[in-house]
Amino acid sequence: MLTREELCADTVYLTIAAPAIAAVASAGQFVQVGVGSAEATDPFLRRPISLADIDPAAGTIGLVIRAIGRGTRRLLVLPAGAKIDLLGPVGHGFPADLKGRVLLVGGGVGAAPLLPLAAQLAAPAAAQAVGGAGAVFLVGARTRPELWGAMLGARAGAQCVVSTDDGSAGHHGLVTDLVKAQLAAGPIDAICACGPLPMMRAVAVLAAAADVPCYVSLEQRMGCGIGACLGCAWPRSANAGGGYARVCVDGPVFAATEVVL
Amino acid sequence: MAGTMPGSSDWAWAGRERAEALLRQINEQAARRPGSLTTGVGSLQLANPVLTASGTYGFGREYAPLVPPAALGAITTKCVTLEVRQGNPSPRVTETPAGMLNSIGLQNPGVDEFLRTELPWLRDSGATVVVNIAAATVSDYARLTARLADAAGIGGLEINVSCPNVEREGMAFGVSPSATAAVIAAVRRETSLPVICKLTPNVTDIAEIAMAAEAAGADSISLINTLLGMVIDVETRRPVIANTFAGLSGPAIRPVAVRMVWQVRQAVRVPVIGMGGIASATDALEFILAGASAVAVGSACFANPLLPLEVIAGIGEYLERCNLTMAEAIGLAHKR
Repeated sequence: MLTREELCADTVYLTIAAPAIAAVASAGQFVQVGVGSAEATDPFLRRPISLADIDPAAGTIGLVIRAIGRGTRRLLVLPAGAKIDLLGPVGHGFPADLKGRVLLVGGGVGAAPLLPLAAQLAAPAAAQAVGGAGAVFLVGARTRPELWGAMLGARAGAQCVVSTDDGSAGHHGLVTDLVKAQLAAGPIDAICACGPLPMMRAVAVLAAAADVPCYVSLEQRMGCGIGACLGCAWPRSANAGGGYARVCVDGPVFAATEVVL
Repeated sequence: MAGTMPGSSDWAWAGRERAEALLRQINEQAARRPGSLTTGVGSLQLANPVLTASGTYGFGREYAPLVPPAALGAITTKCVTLEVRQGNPSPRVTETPAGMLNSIGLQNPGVDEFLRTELPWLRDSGATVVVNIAAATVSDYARLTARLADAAGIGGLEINVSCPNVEREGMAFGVSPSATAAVIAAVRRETSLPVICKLTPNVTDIAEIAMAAEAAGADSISLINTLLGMVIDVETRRPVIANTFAGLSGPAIRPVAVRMVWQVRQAVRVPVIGMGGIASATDALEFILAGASAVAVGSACFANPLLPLEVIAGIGEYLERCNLTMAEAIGLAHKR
């Protein structure tokens, strides 16, 4: 770990030297983070954490760690300089060929996996290619201090619009209100969303009504993280063949129409 | 759809160097002490005693970028059933102290698809293959065995008797000596392949079940399957696992598993395969000393994909240090 930055209560942003991962990773992929020592078997499983930054030139990745249990709490208190055991990159990320006006919709800690995409779409080459149409990063949180997604997004050059549940910053209301406003303001080419399930469900409904392709990044309790254990099953929609998809390797990013939200 | 999005098995990069070092170590040991790791389960000869526990390793594909399937004693496959099974609703897994719960629901592509896509791949990989099977009736066990009996590339069958018997109000076959015997006898009639009976630990007397399986013609007994457990989320006040009950695995169950291997070793003459919470070579050696002719690594591979190779190398180191062969080490803890 190179740097450790406190974002808000129980949430830190870590920069980690991981050149092999940074060289091949794409936006929306994740890493399986070890939370015990090599010998320790408690906590037992790795923790899937989305890549919040991918910098192949610097050979670094960024991770947003929000402490929600005993595993993530261990990661939260690690000091800069600590060695972190990573397995990755894992999973399928966002489509590589997104262009035009793209809405990125992040709710709470769900802003994290959208950050590399926001950075990629804000890069001068990408912005030029789409004739300045660009991407808009819509970030929703409960309160102002939890809007770190917008802070990190702006740092990466993304155009950000925010909402809070309590009105302490930006739009007073849901991030889905911002999606409605954007859809009303002009044509949108794609929507990428990550956040609480009700939020993603609402965004998918709005996207479908506007006939805009929508991609969601899902979270599920996970065992191996590489597709072997079938622990992280998510129901696939009937028109995508039914049954279950594996969030770890078939996702975590899915077309919203492919899964049951 | 997922195929159009970026992704790969790039995760394996980090362990490759260590995997190669372990494989070198294993090969050098084999050259120095030829045959010292070989073991057998009935007529199935194994180059080393380390297998994978069914359901934790898929059909070997996912781990293959790091662990060559042929380097293992054998791959025990994900459970195969007659028909395709979609599995249980989510959540299917959750972490517990030094372990985890799972209720996957035997999700698998069915025997026909297994024979068409998975078995040829395993055969080409050079792996020794043990196919784990389950069914809901005795006659379905027989039909499933008949489908597999003549397929090329199968080294043995492991019979999962922990599933509900629909002919006896859903009671698991494996909790009754007579139901276990009926399944094993039916399977035995259909094949000359080595038949391994995998026991559930959720019984009062494990030795009694093991003896019934042996008498019905099992060539080997493997144990333990998971212990039935559950976790409740106090905020939602609901069970965490969608299916309510789930199977506990991981280091938390190891002392139970070692005890049961010890008991079964005393009760039967056929070789025993020990498993349950193995997370290191030392853990595996406990099972061997308790009487296991082979061991299986399971859910600990989720945290450490290199574990099978570490256990093979570690057992080899121990045997060399103690000037023992695998055959001599089996059950040594019983001697006083």
